[in-house]
Amino acid sequence: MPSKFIGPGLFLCGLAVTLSCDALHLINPYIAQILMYIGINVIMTSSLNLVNGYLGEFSVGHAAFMAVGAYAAAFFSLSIFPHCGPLLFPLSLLAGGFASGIIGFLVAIPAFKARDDYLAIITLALIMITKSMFENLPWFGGPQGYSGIPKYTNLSWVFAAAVMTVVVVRNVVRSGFGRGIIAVRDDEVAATLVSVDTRQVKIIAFVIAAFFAGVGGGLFAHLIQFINPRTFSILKSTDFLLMLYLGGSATIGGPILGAAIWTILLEVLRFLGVWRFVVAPVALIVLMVYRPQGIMGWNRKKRENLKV
Amino acid sequence: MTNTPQKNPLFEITGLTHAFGGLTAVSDFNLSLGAGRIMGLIGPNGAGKTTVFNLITGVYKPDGGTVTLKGKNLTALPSHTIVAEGVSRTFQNIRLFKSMSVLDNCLTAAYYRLGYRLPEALLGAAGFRRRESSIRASALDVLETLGLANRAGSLAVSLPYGMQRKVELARALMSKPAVLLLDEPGAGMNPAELGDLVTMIAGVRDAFGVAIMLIEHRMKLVMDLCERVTVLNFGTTIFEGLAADLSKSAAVVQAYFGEDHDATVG
Repeated sequence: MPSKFIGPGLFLCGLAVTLSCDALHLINPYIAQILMYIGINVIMTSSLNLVNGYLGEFSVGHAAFMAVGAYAAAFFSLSIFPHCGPLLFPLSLLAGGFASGIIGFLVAIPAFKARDDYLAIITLALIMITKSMFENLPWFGGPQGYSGIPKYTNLSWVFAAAVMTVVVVRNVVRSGFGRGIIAVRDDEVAATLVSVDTRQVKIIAFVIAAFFAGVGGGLFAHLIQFINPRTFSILKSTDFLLMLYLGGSATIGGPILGAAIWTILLEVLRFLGVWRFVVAPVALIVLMVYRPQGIMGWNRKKRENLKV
Repeated sequence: MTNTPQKNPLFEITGLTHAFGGLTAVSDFNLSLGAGRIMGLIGPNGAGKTTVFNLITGVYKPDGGTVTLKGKNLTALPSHTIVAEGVSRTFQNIRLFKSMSVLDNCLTAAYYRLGYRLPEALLGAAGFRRRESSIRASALDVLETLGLANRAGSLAVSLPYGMQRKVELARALMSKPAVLLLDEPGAGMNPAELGDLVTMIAGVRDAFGVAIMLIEHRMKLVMDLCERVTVLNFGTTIFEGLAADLSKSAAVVQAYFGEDHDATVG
């Protein structure tokens, strides 16, 4: 079998498995729920990786993009096509993605000038703005939250969206645009002086990251069926940052691994009660001390020869 | 002072001026460079040589003056557009992309001529893959010419210093320049390496047909390569002419050695 069919083949196999799980209820609902959380976290972390890993910015606003996607997708399902059932669910997800992508574009503009701490503050402001926006807009239930969202999210949708996110991020990174993104991280001035349009690559990174965060938000909203503005606080962003740096930023596998490990770890440690929020972060601190580049991150000094 | 501008020069600068606050870093800088020519820009530390490069490449916006390449005005264009138009440079302090291989460093400089759009890249379309392999082939060609082909996969910043300078040169050539600006290519090199560098720069000029403007403190390199030389001191041009006439200029001798010295440059 030619190697170019292996990826799509695996994807179709995975899709067949998840479809049959959904249709025949093969998996215990609790496990299915966790798997869907993992998938959504993979989407969130992989997309965040584009900005925080490859572009080298420090955005803490990923929960805001997720919120915009969640609200927009829920709004589409409830108000634009309320009686269509799950058939038009992908359109709701796309709507969430596009709404969030627009916000991503708006955030890219201050990122033309601001870097590092300053951009972190700007994205922090974004979180506060979206939170108070959704608390005060009349259509979305205000601070009480947006309820009655149909449960359209299932394993198949999550699987398909997660694979698509990872593939798109990988394709961007391996293209000339991705080299531009990484060049900006390594040396922005040198990047412009070898013809990289730094504004363009920042827009690309932010918009794609925000788009998939929006899709992830849409899946999340249609999974837990009830969202409120407090769901998408800075703590939510912190979760994704944590998964990213745990797995290893600026790698394709890192965010997947980080999302899976962290989600499972919090579930496995559930017997500790509230203490799991002590034990898990301590484990993270230990990891960061001994392996600061993350689990999948490679050590530059040890890697003399890169792949040509 | 001899000043014989060529007819229809490839690259021309007139009246380039820039001040940092009250300090005039470059004032009324003029230049005319023909295709395939090599000229030297020299002068004591702080004379404004690198500032001239920064003005040409759009790192700073000039207060006055124009830069034209093939009749096209490049002044006040954004840096990445200036590179795309055909002016590329290397840096005094090497600025390679530290997470990239030698090959990827070079590939990055093809950004303006990727030849595919973002959606094609996202989907991994056939057109995207075809263009990527042709860009990769051209980068390997450049590396081959500079004798770096066997290091294409190495992390660029892990190479020895002299080789890193070559990688910067390869990266600058990847954007297919008509004019190449080299900022102290010989810095930190020993006399033997310097000899190789002279051969290499002349070779690059012949192989790629570029005009070269180089900033250099090592006079051997300047005298071996440059037909014409411009000397800057405190931002003003104190000499413009044939390299051979350099030591005859009283102003140059004074700038380098101070007054009341019977000395020559060289």
